[in-house]
Formats: sequence, C-alpha cells, structure tokens
Amino acid sequence: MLFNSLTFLLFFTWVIAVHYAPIKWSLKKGHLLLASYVFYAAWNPPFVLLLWLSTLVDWQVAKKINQQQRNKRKYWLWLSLSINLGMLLVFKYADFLLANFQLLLNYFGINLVFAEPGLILPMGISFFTFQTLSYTLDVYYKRLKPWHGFWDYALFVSFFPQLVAGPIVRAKSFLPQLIKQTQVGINQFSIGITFFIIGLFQKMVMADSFFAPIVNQVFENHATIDTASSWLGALFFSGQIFCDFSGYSLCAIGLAMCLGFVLPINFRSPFAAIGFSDLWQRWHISLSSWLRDYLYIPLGGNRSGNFKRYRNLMITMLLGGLWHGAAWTFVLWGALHGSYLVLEQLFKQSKFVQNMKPKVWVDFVMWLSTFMAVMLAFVVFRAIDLSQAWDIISAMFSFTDNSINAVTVVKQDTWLLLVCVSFLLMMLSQWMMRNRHLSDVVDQSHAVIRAVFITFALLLISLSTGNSNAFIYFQF
Amino acid sequence: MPSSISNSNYKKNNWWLSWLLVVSLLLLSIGSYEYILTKNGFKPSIELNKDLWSWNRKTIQNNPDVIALIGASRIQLGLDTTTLRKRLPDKDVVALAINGQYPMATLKSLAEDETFNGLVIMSFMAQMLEPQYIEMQSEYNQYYAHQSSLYLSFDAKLTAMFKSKFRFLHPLLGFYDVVNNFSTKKAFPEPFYTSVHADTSAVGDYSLVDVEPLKQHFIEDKKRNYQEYKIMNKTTWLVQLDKLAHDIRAIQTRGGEVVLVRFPTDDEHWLLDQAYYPRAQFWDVMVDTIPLIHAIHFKDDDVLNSFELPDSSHLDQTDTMAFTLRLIAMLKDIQLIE
Repeated sequence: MLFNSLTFLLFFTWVIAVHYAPIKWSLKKGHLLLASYVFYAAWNPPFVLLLWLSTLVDWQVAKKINQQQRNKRKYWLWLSLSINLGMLLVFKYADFLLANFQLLLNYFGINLVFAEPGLILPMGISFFTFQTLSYTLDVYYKRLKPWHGFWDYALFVSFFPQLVAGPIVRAKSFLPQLIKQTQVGINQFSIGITFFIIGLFQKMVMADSFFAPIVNQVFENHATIDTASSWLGALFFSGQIFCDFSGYSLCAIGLAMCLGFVLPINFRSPFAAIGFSDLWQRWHISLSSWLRDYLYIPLGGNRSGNFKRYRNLMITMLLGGLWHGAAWTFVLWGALHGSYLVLEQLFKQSKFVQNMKPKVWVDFVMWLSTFMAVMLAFVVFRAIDLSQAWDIISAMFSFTDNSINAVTVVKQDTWLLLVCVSFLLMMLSQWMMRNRHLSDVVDQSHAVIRAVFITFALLLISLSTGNSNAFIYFQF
Repeated sequence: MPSSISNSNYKKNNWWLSWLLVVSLLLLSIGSYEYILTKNGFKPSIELNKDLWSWNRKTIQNNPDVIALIGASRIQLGLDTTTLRKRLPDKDVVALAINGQYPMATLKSLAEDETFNGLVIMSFMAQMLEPQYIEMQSEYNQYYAHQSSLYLSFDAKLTAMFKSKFRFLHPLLGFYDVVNNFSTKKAFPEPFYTSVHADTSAVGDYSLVDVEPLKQHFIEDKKRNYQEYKIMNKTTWLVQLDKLAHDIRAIQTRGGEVVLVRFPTDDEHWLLDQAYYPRAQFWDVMVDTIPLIHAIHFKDDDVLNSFELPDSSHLDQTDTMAFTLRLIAMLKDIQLIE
C-alpha cells in the first residue's frame, strides 16, 4: 500500500481507531500485526509467505543459537544467513547473476543461453531480511536475548510503517516498546501527523512534481544532452532521491509516532555533510549503521591497520551498493562511495590537513567537494547502464564534443526557475537543520507559523496529485 | 509574571490552535478557489488510468445484467450513463471506452473472458478493423489481466470518486499546468470543454470553445489519418470480419450480446468517412456477412442523424440525453433490452 493513496488514509484511520479503542494491549498488538500483513498483501498477497518464512526462520534460529554451545551456534547462524540471503539472491539477484554468468561463458567461447527467471521482486525484501537478520546476529553476538513473545517479534519484523522501505529497525530498540502501550499526547500525535505531511510534501511535491519530470527528460535524452541540462539533471536527481526516500522515512516515523512507537531517524540533512564519513552519518542512517555493525566491524573494521581498514570500507560500500539493486551501476555507485571514504581517510591522515586550523572557507570547500562527488555518484545510481551515466557525466564536463548535436533538453521557463528556487530552498533548509532535530523545530515553532506551513504543504500536495509515482526505494 | 510567560508559551506552542488554523485555512483557501473555478465555468473531472479501467473491467464479470460500453471518445462523450442507469434500473452500466483508442482488443478480451455474459454496446466503424488498429486497447487489457490488483483498482476508484467532486483537483489544473499557463499565456487556464466523470464516461461542453477551428482541426486530422495508410482491401476486410464474428459469437454463446453502433459524424466528416470507407463496401457487407449481428447506423435513423456535432465528430452535452434515449428505444425495439 502506498502512503500517498486515499486507501492508505482510510486504512490508517481504521488502525488509529482500533489502536485507541479501550481494548487490551495484546489485542491491539494483534490488530497491528494483522494490519501490517494486510498492508503488505495489498501489493501482492502471495508474498506475505516470504515475510512469514523470514519471521519464522529467524525466530527459531535465534532461540536455537541461544540454547547451543559455540560451534553449533555458528551452524544455526549460517542457516539464517542462507535462507535470508538466499531469498534475496533468488528474487533480487538471479537475473543479474545469470546474465553475467552467460556473458562470462560467451567470453570464453561457450555459447549458452539461459532463460531469464523473470521473478517479481517482492516489495521491501531487502529491508525486512536485514531487519530479521539483525535480530539473529544480535543474539549470536550476545547483544540481545531472544525475545519471549513470538507475536511481538512478528510485529517487529512486519510493522507496516517501516516494512517496505525502512528505516531498518533494530530489535533492541523496537521490541521493548511492545511491553506496554505508550500514552500518546496531543504533542506527539501532532508531530507524527506533521512528519507524515512533510514526508508527503517531499515525495509528492518536491520529488514527483518538481524534480522527477526534469530528471526523466535529461536521462531519456542522454545521448544528445547539453551541458546545462546535464547539470540540472544531476542536481535535481540528487534532490529527487533525497526527497523521495527521506519523505518515505519521515512518513514512516510520523505514522509510528501516532501509534506511540519511536523509529530511528534515517536522514539528518545529508546534503549539508562536510566529508563522506559525515555524509554516511546523515544519509540512510539505518542502513549505514547496519552495514557498520554487521559487516564492517565483523570484517575487522579499523582495528588491523590502514590497508585492512580501506579494504573493509571498500567491501562494505560495494555490498551496500549491491544492496540497492542488481546492476553494475549500483556496484559502481558503491565503489565510488568506498573510494571517497578511503580518499577521505588518506586526506585526513596527511600532515597538511592535520596542521590545518578550522576555517569557514575550508568547511565550504569540503562541503562543496562532498556534494559534487555525491551528485556524480547519483548520476551513476540513476542511470540504466554505464554508458548512459557516461553520456551525462561527459556532457557535464564537456568531455565529448557534442556541441553540434547537443539539444537543450530542459526548457528554460518559469517552471524551471521555480524548481531551481525549490532546490536552493531545500539545500538551505538542510544547512539550517544541520545540527537540529526536526521534531524539536516542529514542536517549538509558533502555532500560527506551523499552521501556515502545514496548510501550504497540504495545498501543494493536493495540487500535485496527478504526478505521483511509487517510492523509488520500494524497488530495493 | 511566570504564569503569564507560561501562558504565552502555551499559546505560541498550542497544537490545538495549529490544527484549528490548518482546518480553517484549508477550508477558506480551497473553498475560495473552488468558488472561483465554479464561477469561471470549470467542472470537476478525473483522469482515466489503467487501474481505474481495471476496476470497471472487473465489475462486469458474472453479471448478465451488465451493459458494457466500449469504444473510443465518441461513445465516451456520446452516451449519457446517468440516463442509461435511470431508464434501465435493472442494468449495471459500465463504461470501458478509452479516448483515442479503438476497442477491438477489449471486445476480444470480453469474448475470451468466460465470466462475461452481458450486453456490449460498441461504438464501431470500419477503420477499427484495420490490422494496425486491432491492438490499440490491448495495453489496458494486458494490464488488467496481469498487473492490476484489488488494492490499486480500488484506490483508483476511490480517488476518481473523490476527484469527481472537486474542481480544484482537475487533472489539468495541477500546480505545473497553472504555473505554465501563467508563464506562457499570462493568464489562468481557460475552462476545459470535456469533463470525465467518476464512472469514466464523459461530456463535452462545446459552448466553452470556439468550435469552428476545433472542427477544422478534427477534419484535417482525420484527412491526414486516412491519407497516412492504404485502406484494407476486400479480402482483408472479410478476414477481419470473420474475427469480429468469432468474438461476437463467443459472447452470444454464453448468453451475452453485442450491438455495434455507428456514432454520427457531421456532413463534412461523413463525406470523408464515405470516401475512404464507403458504407456499401464496408458496413453493409458486414451486416450481410455476419447474420446474427446487431448493428445500428446513425444514418438509418432520423433522430440519431439529427444531432449537430460541434467538432464534426462528437455530441455536445446538451444532446447526449436525447441521443441516449433514442438508442435505448432502438435497443428495446430489437429486444436487446427490456
């Protein structure tokens, strides 16, 4: 079910009505679980089975790990990893792996043609498998005891606000919230609703109405694109993906707040990041912290010297890239971010930097370089293949002389001016919010200013309903 | 003093006040905008999409009382579904027409659908059987068969019902359209002469447009369209008729019926139609070749032939009720409905 649909509003009204009815907490949790399955089944009912499989496997495995001695614990962990990552491999990566295997065979002169599996990618599979895996891994590393109630655990895996596109929640932070119902006051409920409205505004107005049409134009005409349009495409895609994904996360956090749950913040003004380590503490925080805790640190982290540290960074970011999708563009995107992080480490260790005193212009240069590098990586992320990415980047820096064939793709009109202003305002708001929490800003604003802002957002949302698409991160 | 400070903070930060203001501001701004749009002649309208079409398509299954309206813009703008429902209260009228797309793929899909046993009213003309036009609506039918889901269809229906009540939600009055119009024409958009209802039927209010240029545009467009390709020969026509007959028979075998209606075109447009698809060589051959066919040609009925068509091809909203009533009477005459 999409948050930006009327059916969802009806669904959520029902959920809220039952959630605040004078009935037992256990019944309310049961109702939330059922609602979560309905939410997921609305898209494609049979895939609820995968959700159940993932839930059951990790519930059992975690119990077994807790009961077993050293070596046997490992076997159970492998079972969980095989089933969860196996599901990902089959549904998400089978086409990609087969196609590349076929290419490899062709390279060696073996002409074999495999039929494409053509499986439908279950919505949000990467999110819920990572969530259940985190539970098993936490039990394995003895950071967590297996939870006592199965239905609580099932609700943790399938809680509908964050089920299909995150934030990826940890059992440690979510399960204790199920012990007893949190009383939600008018402040928390209102902040939740406001988050939901801001999220929808980001998605429906900024991402879908403002940025997406121009980005689509640019990427469709990649072969003959002019320099100015290619820059606009790259800039606006950065805006689009941020507003799309951060919008979804904000909706999820807001909805959960209305139900009395706290979900982790997923974005904290990422385009105001100064440096790449800073970026990854601000962009898709729930994924980057997952990768840090369950991949980078188990690989050795930064404990065994610089070479291994850089190697671990590269492996983590490559796999992080592949997590987003089965394509070489995502692998390259991960590789670029891995390289950025390694270069940043090398840069920070240089004597020149260590002797440098903090200055505003240094921060500005660092911010600009970070944003430019992130934007270039996003061109690769958005492109359907590497040649499309290359066309856009070439046009941005005029590597190829397409001045004769170049077409001014983006029409320079009032609409473009408006989109540019919106982009600048988005960047400005990220700088203003750099070290602040949105909930504080929303809660502490003057009632009238807040009302004007919410009304403005709702009006623009209602005037943008014709252009809505599914959230980009659903496909991951 | 402390109490006054806390009081002012409370007021500043009062969520109840915020929500009261939000509701008031929303009602005021949307109400005023809606009022201005009404005053300026705008009507609510929705946008047909595959999910909404799939919802309609789903509702016609296992229902012998269903009347499915299929075709393109002529039937969409020409039949008044409110009149149909009022005059035929025992029937379930479902609009499946798609603007700009000929309906042969939909007829085929209905023929292949074992659960369909209702009455099909199809806007028909010979050009629809040209091989290159046969698949025109197949994208919608494929989507219905393989991709539609109850949730998406239901949501599309709900959205359509909601949007059909408000002018400010008109698909052509989005933020982009308004800004663009202001930027290029230095004015707010003019009212649109066609409006699509929640059931996907539509009306054309030609008093809102300068009809002469529109008419010329339609005629020129049709001329260009006819000149673009070679008209099918007699053999192809007969082969295509055979396929049509097969689909009609499949529906009839299950107790359903199909009636082909040639919707009116005005004199100039009709002359063009006649020049490329002469009635004697196409329509009349069809009626003779398919013995059990029910076919109504506007030229055979004084009432159907009497309407003025502002753009040469579609009925004005003031005529659709009379046209529909006449068609109901004719369907009763040939005992397709009671």
